Amino acid sequence: MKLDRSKPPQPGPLTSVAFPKFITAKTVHGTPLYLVENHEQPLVSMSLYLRSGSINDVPGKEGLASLAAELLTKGTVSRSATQIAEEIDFVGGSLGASASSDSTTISTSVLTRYLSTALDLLADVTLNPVYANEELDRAKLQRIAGIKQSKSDPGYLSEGIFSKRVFAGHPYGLESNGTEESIPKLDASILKDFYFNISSPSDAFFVVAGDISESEILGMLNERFARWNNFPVQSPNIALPSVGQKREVILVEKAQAVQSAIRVGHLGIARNDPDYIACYVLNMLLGGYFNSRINLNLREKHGFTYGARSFFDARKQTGAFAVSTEVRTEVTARAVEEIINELTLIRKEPVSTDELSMVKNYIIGSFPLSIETPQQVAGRIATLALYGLESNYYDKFRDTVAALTQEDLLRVAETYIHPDSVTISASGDANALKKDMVAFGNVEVFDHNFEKL
Amino acid sequence: MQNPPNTQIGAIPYSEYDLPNGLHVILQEDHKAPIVCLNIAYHVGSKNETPDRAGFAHLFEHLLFEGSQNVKRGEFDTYITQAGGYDNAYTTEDKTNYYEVLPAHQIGLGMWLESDRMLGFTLGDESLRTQKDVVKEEKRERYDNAPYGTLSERMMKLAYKTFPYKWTVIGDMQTIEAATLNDVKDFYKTFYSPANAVLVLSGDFQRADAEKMIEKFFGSIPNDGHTLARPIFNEAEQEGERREIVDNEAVPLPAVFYTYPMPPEGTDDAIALDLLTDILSTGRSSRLYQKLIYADQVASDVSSYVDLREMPGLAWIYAVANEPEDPIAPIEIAIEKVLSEVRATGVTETELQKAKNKTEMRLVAGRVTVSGKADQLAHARVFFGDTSQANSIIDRYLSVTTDDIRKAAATYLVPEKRCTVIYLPPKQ
Repeated sequence: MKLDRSKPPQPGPLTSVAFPKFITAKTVHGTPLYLVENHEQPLVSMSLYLRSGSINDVPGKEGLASLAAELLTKGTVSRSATQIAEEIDFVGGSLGASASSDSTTISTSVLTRYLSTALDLLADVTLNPVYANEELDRAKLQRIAGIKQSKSDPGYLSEGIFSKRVFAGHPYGLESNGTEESIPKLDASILKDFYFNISSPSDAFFVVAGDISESEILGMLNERFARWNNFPVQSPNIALPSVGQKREVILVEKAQAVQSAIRVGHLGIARNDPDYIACYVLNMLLGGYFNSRINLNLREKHGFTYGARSFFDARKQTGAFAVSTEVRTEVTARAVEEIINELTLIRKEPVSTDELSMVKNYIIGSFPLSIETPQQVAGRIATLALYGLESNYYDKFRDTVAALTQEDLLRVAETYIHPDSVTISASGDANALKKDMVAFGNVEVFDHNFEKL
Repeated sequence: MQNPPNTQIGAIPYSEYDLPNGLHVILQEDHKAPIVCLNIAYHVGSKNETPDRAGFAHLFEHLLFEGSQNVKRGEFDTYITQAGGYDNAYTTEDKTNYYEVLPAHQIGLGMWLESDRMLGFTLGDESLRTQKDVVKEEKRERYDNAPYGTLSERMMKLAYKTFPYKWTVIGDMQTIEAATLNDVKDFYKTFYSPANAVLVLSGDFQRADAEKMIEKFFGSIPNDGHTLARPIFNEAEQEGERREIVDNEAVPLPAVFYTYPMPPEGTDDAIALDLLTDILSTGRSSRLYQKLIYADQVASDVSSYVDLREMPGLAWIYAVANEPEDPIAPIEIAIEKVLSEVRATGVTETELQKAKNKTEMRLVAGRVTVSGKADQLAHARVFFGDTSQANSIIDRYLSVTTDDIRKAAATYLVPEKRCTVIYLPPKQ
């Protein structure tokens, strides 16, 4: 039979995909441990999550959680920074500690035959960091150089001022890496106090993926974490930010810029919001993937940009919704106008059945692709644990998506997308941008230190 | 025609064969997740361009998503997306790679799309216009508007005087703009034939079914039998350092970038230099980090790595100062101090074992996904004409000696052979 190339072949039968089974156990102090066992490649990855992060930062001490985490691998009671680095580098593994908004993570990834070395190090940096002045000074020097370098990145500037404005006073709006003013003020005793007040087996969990069994990993962890000081961790009491009431434009001046980095958006939702999955699907269709309305409009139809996207950045307490793109200076205002048009349209008319089925097919079909590796599965499990989602959340995920209707998306669009009160930030040639951008609302201009001009 | 299954530990098992039209097929069955990756590598890159069309191979990669005989403009991504998959492509100096990762039951869709654009493609003025704009915007975002973004353009011009590595993959605004529909047709006819391509299918399929399907979709694509003229490496040996100082671009901190000419990927010396650049800068215990950042505190960032190519590539070392006013000289002195020690006394067994562990980790970690496996197999076939090198490469890295490393340093990482680009922040 001659091949008919005029249309795509019928797909084969759909294979059912279950979220991979994982083991839930408890280590010596009752700390939860989640294990995704897989022996295909001789690799093990592990992360220890502490349930505090940059959300614990306060104004004037921006960068506290992040610098406290960074210093963990820079020296312990028995190992210098160089020794730690040499031991993990030697086995070809990685060891790192970092803070995000809602957690502090200490992670390692290593060939199975070197797991014991990696866990010795991970336990040592968790239990016995020393915050030596010499190391701290070096880290601060680099941190400040990094901050200076970031200030020449239009995306960083636009994102930074956008978050500050949208999260209005909430720690999610602070510069989590710190500022040129805050970093010098963070001394060893401040960092050490901070860390030892958040590091407790009562407020932590382990996620392990790869070539190791439950009994082996439990034995290795129990031996190494028996001496971890166990106490209840205080969580900070923070008021939620209030929602913006009108459109506003914030420009960050960047000399010689040929492009503008734009953010358009407002406050969003928390990760455990029951509407999260509906918002996720809505956003995918609006600006979350290549075939989304916003990308097709700005990139394919107008050629304004190499790419445009939108996202719900949903965190533990609240989140942001934003559209993000970089466009030529001279089309900046037109791009913003197209973005606002798309935000207006999505809450005015139901999405078409074709669009909805396409985005559902995409999300449902791509789900197995996103849980291909044990490390990816472990990442999903960490999300469940961190935000307190049900353990069968990902088992139900595809059915939840499949059940969403045009009405559901219209309802969440009306509830969570607000084109009339967006904050518009743009980093670029402020003088050139000002006259066109005033059409959207009051314009304020800032320099790269976020000082008002 | 087919290889016996490979039983070497840690290896990627595969089978391979040629279709009569010259398309080389590699099958890699892997049933751990219900997904497949279809990867097609064409043996063409920016080194196959003419100077007045620099950037064309990459522009062409964009155009190949703009429609073929049975797939209309804009439909390619839509089909893949609707199926729940994703697709992407990349262009280097030496190859252009297209791949789709799909749920296993959609394997036929990938075959249909890729075979249709290997069979022939349609292109209008509007597509060419739009993709020129998209590529120019990509250049602005990733190069012109980024700090140190002009580096690769400057460095390639400095390091290569005749060979077509002297321009970058992204090309120039003028040469991108100059592309015509006739150029597009010629390029397609010359380089996008089945005989110039390698197809790798990796993931959850049955081999017999896959072979039938590949025959059905790709077997009937004609091969006009033309032979390809490939560029011959003709660079004269470099005599003395080549140096450029840039002080009129908006960079935040002074930085120095070095390159040293090196042999092609896959040669023993290239493997030694790969390990050596690892030893020099990977991790906080590395020599450059310890000297420049830790001991002398003259830099905030330092790195070295190899830019491996099919023809002679470049070994890179760079460092960034701490403050805008900092001088460059102490950085250059410190780097040269580190290198002169390695040239004279080599490295220790411990340092070498460390670099080997790191490389093994990198190669093993690259084999965790079906797309990673497909890419490693396609790469070995396109660059070396020998798929098995994807599997033998780990052993070749593990057999390098400290003496090989010292010789490689002494031969290649010498100041007379380097090209230097220095960026200084503009004076206020």
